[in-house]
Amino acid sequence: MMNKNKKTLIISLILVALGLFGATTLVKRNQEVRRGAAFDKTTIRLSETAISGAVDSTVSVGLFIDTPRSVSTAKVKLCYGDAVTTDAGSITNVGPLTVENYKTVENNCVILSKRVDTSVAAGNLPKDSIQLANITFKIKKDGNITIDKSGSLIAGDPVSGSDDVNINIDAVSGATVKVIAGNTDAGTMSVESSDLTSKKVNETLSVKLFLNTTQNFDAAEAKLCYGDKLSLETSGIVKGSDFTDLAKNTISNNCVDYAVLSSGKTLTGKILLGTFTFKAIKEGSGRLEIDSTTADYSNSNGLVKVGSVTNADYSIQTLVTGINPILNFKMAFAGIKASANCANSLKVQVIARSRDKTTKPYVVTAVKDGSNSNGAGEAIYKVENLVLTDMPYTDQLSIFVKGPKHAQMKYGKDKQNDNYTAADGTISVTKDSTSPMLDFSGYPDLPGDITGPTAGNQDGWIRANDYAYMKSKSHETVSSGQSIDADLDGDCQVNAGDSTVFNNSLIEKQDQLY
Amino acid sequence: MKDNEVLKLFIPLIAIVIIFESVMLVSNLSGKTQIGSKVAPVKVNEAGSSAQVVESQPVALDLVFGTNTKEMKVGQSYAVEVNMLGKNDYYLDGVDLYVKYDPSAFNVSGLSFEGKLPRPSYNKISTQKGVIVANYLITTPGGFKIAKDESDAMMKFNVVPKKAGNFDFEITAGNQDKESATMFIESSTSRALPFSSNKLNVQVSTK
Repeated sequence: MMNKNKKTLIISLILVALGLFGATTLVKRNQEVRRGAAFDKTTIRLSETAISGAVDSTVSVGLFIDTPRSVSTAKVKLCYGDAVTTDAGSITNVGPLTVENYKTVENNCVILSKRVDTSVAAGNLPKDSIQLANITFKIKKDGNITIDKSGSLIAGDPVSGSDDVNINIDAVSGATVKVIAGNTDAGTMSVESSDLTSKKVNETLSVKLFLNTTQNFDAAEAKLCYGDKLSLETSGIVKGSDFTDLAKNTISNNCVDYAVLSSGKTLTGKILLGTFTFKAIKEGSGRLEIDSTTADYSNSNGLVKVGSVTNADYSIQTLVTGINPILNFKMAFAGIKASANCANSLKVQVIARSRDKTTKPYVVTAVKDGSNSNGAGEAIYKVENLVLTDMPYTDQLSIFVKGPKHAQMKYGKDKQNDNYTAADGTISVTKDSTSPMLDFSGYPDLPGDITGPTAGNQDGWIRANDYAYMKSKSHETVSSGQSIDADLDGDCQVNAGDSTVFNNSLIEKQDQLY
Repeated sequence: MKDNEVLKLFIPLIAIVIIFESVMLVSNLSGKTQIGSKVAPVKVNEAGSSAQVVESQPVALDLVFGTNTKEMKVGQSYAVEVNMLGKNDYYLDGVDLYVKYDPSAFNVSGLSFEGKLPRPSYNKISTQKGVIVANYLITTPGGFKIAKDESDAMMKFNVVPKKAGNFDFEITAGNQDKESATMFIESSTSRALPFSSNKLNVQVSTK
């Protein structure tokens, strides 16, 4: 009897211990999940799990690391047998690990070694989803592209309490390769618009991108280039209504990398992929051109290159002149160097003020003028052929300009290089093509008005809440051609450089006010 | 014997209770988010002798003027300081502090910062606008902690009265255009914390 009681007691104590152990484990696991944020393990993967196409067609896939750890160095080995071919020239270096140690292509394997620049501080090392490269393969036969876990290595910031910089690779994910029949049924991607020849400078041009195929698909992508007569912002891109996700809309060098996904819906026939609203910025002709090497679509069976593309030529008409004043000016934004990759065009608010105090507001896109810079190395931006509608005067004008994360600046004279304090301006323009190109680039627009009482909405002041907002976005990074509102220097990341730019801006603006 | 019977029932019951509690704890942990997401913007009532915060959110800190005397004499120098008193634990990412005064009644000089708050990125005594400005940008990750019931000297300055009369020094919440708006920005929310402040009323005499 006594033994039975003891047994019961022991079993009960074991139950209590199990309960305590379970509780501790559950709580600990929950905290780790929160700390891990986007990814809770380290994986090397390709952007596609299945690719397909005709023999000798090319397919571009991304190579990624997903990890919760901060990464400084990565070496990845992937092998592909005789399913595909590639070469060193087909491996494009992308992502935050900017320095390529080496890349070799031999024995049907790619070995790619990369690291971050030595200037990147430990606290700024990239993590989460890190792209290493885009690799273009030529399809040869059915097979697999595999990532060799034992031949790969990732290192980075040690976890707290450890000196070990090596990051354990938990999983790898390659892709299957499937050869499909030739391109006869691979469909057509086309760019279409009813306004290709009627638009004038400063007017908008709406363009639609279609895919027409008899095959089923649930995702599509392409690079669409539009030349230097048009400008495009991400806000002007709208995905087709059949798609659930706008997977890519990166604008760079007068091209947009575009991709859309449809979750849970298979599409076929002529499908609208997206609508692009361009702004005409220059007179002349150009072409809306789909880069055929990038145009593809996919479904659960893999990736298919489109069979053909249909481009469209456009022409922007001569500006109607003689009715309203025409304003042209060059400007700069403090802190944005000519080499900045995430500030190719910026939307600015322009207010023209005449001698009788008439004020008229306009919104226009300032476009980077190549690699030209002012004396401080800051990029020059141009605003051309801004029609000052309803402005009755062409002389004694002053111009107020405010960038998307900037204070409002007053320009009262051409070649102005400091604060203009007089009430009336001295700027003269004309109503035709003789209107001068004014130069305000010597007195750059000061950044710092990023937000206000409502997050993300400017309130007209550079102050503590702007700084706190910027600080809250620390280390946010975007790809070249995209933008973040708190990235004041346009280097694609919110970092210490932006803090310095903000500080300088605050001092200059406060000195003007007080 | 009877005790053993109780144990037989009681110990498994405790085990079940512990497991249940742990599951509840996990659920609660995942549900707690958006700390301080409803912090209201600062709105200070400028009327009256003591400025009041007019939002339902509790006041996060008090700003208090300190001086040896409120009865001053023309031509003599007096030290004035502005102190911040935490009403709870808060972390700050930035502070804009503006103290308004009458430049026709006082010469202000010797602006100094000896408290724990990092030295301001910008500071100025603007005789043109009659405002003392200090803009603090906190670079420290996580922000600057102002603890409950803890006081910190934000700024000190010297005043020399120029004429007799009754004058105020006050913390400004900004004019109609929101220029010179004092604000304390919380790290976790990037929003302005409600604060209260008093006016320093000074009686200046010639003798």
